[in-house]
Amino acid sequence: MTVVRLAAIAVIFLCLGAATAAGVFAFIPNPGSPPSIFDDFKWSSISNGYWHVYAAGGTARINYSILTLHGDTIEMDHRLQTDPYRTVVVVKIRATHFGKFSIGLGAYHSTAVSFEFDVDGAKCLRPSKEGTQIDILQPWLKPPTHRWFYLMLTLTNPYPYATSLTPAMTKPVTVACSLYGAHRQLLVSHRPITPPTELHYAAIDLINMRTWDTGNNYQVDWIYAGPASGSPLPVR
Amino acid sequence: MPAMPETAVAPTRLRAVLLAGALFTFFFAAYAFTMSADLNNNGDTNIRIAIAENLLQGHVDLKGWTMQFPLHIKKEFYDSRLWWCTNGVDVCSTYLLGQPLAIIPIDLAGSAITRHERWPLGPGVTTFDHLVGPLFGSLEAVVFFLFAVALGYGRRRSLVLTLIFAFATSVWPDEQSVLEHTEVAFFVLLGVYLAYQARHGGRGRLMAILAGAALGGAAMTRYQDAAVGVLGVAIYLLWPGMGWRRLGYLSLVGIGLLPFIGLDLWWDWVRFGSPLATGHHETLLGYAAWLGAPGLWVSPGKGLLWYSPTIFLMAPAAVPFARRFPSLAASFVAMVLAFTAFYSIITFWHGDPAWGPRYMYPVLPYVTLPLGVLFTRRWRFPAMVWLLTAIFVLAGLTVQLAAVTVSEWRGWYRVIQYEQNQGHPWLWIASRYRYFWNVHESPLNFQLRSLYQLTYDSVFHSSRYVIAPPAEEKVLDDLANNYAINQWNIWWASNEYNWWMGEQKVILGVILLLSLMLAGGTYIGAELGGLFEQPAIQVGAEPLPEAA
Repeated sequence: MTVVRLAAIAVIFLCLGAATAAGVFAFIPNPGSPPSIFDDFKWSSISNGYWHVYAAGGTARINYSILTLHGDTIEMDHRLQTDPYRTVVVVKIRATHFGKFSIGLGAYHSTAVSFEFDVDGAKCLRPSKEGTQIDILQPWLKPPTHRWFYLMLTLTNPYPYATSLTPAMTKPVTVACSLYGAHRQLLVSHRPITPPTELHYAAIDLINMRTWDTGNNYQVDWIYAGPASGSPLPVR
Repeated sequence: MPAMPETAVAPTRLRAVLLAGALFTFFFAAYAFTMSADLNNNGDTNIRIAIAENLLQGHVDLKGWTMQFPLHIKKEFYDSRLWWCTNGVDVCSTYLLGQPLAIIPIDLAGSAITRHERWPLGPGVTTFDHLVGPLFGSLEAVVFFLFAVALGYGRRRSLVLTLIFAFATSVWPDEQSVLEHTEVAFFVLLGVYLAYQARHGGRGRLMAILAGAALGGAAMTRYQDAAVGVLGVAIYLLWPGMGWRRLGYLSLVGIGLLPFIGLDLWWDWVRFGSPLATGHHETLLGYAAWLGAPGLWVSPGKGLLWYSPTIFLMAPAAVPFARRFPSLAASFVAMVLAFTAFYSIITFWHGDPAWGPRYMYPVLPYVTLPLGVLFTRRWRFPAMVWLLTAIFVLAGLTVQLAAVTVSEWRGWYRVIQYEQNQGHPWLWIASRYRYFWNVHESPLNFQLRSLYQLTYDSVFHSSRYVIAPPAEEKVLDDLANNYAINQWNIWWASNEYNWWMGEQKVILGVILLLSLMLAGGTYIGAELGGLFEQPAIQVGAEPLPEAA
């Protein structure tokens, strides 16, 4: 009986020790969000948690350093530390079959501003007091398949030097969407102003790529997100 | 050492406290281990988190929230959770202070830890805030155990009954949902338990005041449920043999309750300008009770009997329990009837979108505690009773396992898809849902099938049962995008955490919770297995004194 009792006490303290050790190790902080990311899909993987991938009838595969988004719904998220002044997202993309694709900046499971590259055109989306505003940059009747494009989404902080937000700080963030052709020539750029964008710059902490609806087949060569100074394309 | 009374938790006060602590640790770790990866919930908890965070900033309204209704809108479209504050501009919530106040310390600690860990604040803090579900779920389980022991079931049988209550009834998915029913169920159960102690244990007056305070906790969470608790406590204290002493106890219950009623009235006043203004302007009452009551108990889509099939065991247990504890049985029956009567006439009696008849979950202790007599009574056909018990407990466990491991929104997706295939476009208007009486549309049916489907896809690494919404179908598309319906719902098994928390932190969290479960479980096993009892002194073992 005594041996069993001692064994039980030993197990209890062993478990408490393991719990304490796990708690102590868990308390060592993470490195935090990266200030910029550039992924050309040469070394990253879909399954290692580098990207959060949520699929509903779609697939995300990397082959020969090309990310292919195929099928229905795919959401890929990555944490990002926004630049104090301006944050840029650029993606090199082409579609063998258009459906619905977007790059966006937002928070957990929520896209705030995005650039859609859809079957019916390229669009800039942002929140406002009147609801989501959709500005069409470039409509097309026949989607330009098998051609590379560069999509650039830019978000500028109206208060880059502020250390805290006050109710008096009502200047809106500035959103800009630019579409470049295969030779990096600017095709169209748009910076919507009215109605003002309703968004706190400080609320942004991730980038995402999404497809939805059906029949998507997009190929992404690389994606960059971070300060304008690191952008592979000149920021307008 | 004298034999321990059958109604004692442990031979010493210290060991009783340690046992209660071990039980709490075990259940809290188990519930936290099976926490849902769904941080969106059905939106209700997020509103209460917003209330807590706004209170911390000194606001009673929901800062930044706007509410717009089209002109001439019907009352059925009103949001029962929100209304304009006194100034007619800001938005206030109709929810009471109970859960927000419980969330505040967790929110503060979670916010500090999230910043320290450099996690994104949104999902980080919300994850910690959701621990309020496991917190009250485990507290409810501990009180249930203490109550079962107090009824004289014995400690081991009480533990078995508590495990059934905690994992084979809807208590498990209810605490996982982080809705406020777990909290109110805990407070009402605590109130009834303390009233039992007031009548049967020592220090009756103190216990009566504490029972009132416990019901006060319920009153500042869901006052209608607290009213039912007061009814139950009153019946228990006064019947049979009502005398001045019992009336005095009931008065003391009222005194304990009073400050919380005051808090409720004050909260109404600061939000909506009148102590009696609740903020509810939607059509609240008027559902036909003869449809609502069977809907809450036996409908294939919402019947509590199917969501917690252990209640079927009340058939053999009810009469022996009532003979043994007549006044307690009367109190339990009154509470169950009152819950049924009240919620059956509510226009959104089903509480949707939610898992099961959530408004009825606070009655679960009162249809589970009597099952203790199954373990204590001598039956004519004991094998049959044991077999029936095992079957219903196993069925209950399977239902709860399906409920906690698969997102309930996967079932909702199927319900909506079924409705639309029948030619009924889906609208998120609670008073118009109509799936309850069609067995083909029962969420239980969909959830059990989903458990099989996710198991199949996991075991065979297939995507055979992946749900993909049809093109241009907004309701289903939103559902599939907002909720992880194609993966396991438990936080560490989904891929909703590793990308912002880090894979190592997920593993460490799992080790931490499993270790706590094992430590708590081992202590409970050792205590109830008699390992901590002093061995009886054997005369033969005494060394004989040497002869002079």
